[in-house]
Amino acid sequence: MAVDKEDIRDFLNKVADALDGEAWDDFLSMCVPEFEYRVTAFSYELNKDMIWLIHDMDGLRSLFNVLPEQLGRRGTRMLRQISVTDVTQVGADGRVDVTSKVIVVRTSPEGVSELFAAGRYLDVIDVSEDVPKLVRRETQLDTRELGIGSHVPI
Amino acid sequence: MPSRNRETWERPPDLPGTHFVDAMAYSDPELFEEEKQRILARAWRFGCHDSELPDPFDFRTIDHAEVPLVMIRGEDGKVRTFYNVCSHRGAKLFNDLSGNARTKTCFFHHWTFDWRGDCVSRPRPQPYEALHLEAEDCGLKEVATDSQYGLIFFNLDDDAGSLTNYLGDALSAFEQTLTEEPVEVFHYHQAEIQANWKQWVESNMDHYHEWMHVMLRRTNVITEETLFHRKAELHSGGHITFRGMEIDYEHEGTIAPREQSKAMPGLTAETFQATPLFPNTVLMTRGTVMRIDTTTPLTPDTSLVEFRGLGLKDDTEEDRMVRIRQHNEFWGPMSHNLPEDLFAAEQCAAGYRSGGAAYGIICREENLSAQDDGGMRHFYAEWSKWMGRSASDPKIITA
Ligand code: FES
Ligand SMILES: [Fe+2]
Repeated sequence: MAVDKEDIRDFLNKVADALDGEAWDDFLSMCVPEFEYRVTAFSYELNKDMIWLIHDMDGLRSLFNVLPEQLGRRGTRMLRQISVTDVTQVGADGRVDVTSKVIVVRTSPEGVSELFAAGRYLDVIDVSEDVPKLVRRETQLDTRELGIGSHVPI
Repeated sequence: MPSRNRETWERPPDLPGTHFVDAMAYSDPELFEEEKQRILARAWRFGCHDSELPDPFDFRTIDHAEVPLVMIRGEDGKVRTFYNVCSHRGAKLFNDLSGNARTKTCFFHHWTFDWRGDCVSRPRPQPYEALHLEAEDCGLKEVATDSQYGLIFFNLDDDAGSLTNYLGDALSAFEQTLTEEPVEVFHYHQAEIQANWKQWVESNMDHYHEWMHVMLRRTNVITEETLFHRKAELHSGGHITFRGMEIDYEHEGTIAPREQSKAMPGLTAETFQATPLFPNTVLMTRGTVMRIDTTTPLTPDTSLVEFRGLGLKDDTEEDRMVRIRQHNEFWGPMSHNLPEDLFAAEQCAAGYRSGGAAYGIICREENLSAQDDGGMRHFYAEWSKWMGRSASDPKIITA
């Protein structure tokens, strides 16, 4: 089965839109039940790979559940700009590995935008059904200075 | 309680001077310069953990301690600190954040230094002979360095007393955890925040803010009963240990219960304990994982905070994963608690920076238990000694 790169691009843009729009249920509906999400970074200080966040579906669900109560400024928005750089079909199981560059811009409630993070999405996407689904996402951050940080997955 | 006019707002609170802080202490540029000279240039400050320099010739640069520094483990196993500055014409010598180098050759004119800081070669040295500039006059500037329980400290003051005297028994609550088995740093990140450095230091002593955190409100892990198990021990030198509190993680499914088998040495999986060291470092643990914060002042209104997460060097892959998860839950850059704490520090800073806030009140008294402000008072008593000024009226020089 050939993979249509255009479909992959559309799908990842939809995922980014759901995250930008804080439509958490929409986001989760685009993932398989055994979805695994992680945020990683390499520390040049320690010369080590680090995991900054790791969740399965349940973990993400409880994270999203407390988000409305987490302290922070209401009206802060994130915008994820992605560009797909590589799509590799792994085998006959209908899974593809997709690498995208991602730039995240954070905009304050006053409307001031700043670069929040730069990195890559390393995704595994299941394309065997009618609609693609995320099986795994690793957000590999180049940016390690995130200011006060974020409660929202990048 | 009636609201106040300017006069009553700006009038010092009717409290002992030890129990409040004047806004000036957070925002005045001259006081800030004085803090750098009187405290930061003279105090023992945490540089890094032993595990960050595991092998001979490993180095680690520190870029934000007023002077660029480099810490190097020598062939003799001892860690030394130097100004990370070439003695020839001032170029920064080590540009990488970490690495391994038996000798270091400056990129500019190729003077070479060894791990003792000695200048061991200069290309074409003959033209120096006329004026007798010998290689032995060209060594690096060494900075006092010592360690306790694997924590490596530096002191910019050549006349500093010993680290042992400086710390006294302040690290006793963490001795077993740091020494029984080898400990390793697995997480490092830094955050430049819009707050005075003391506002971050305070956040680790101010337990009254506990209910700010949604996870603590929701899971009810802090109860009237457990609160009073916590006691602050005030060590000489301005250091403090908060301990005695155990956290029951089983209240709600949101936070997974912790397995005793994963506790670090000397702790239970529920231990909640912290030791702020004067002036700018805090060690803390939540039983299965440790954290070290180091706060460096950049300007009166901005600070760089370094966050380290520590586990056991010989962790199995599974145990390390547990520690990483439990570290990230409360303490990672994308955790429940850390972004809230940093948010709070920045919001308080905004209040003082604007001149809106006049004083900070630190007068809660509960026999150094529960949510007593005694930790902060102990910090400011020490600050006052070093500064020769009281924090409640810093305009007046006392020493
Ligand atoms: S500045 Fe380093 S060798 Fe000249
Ligand atoms: Fe907190």
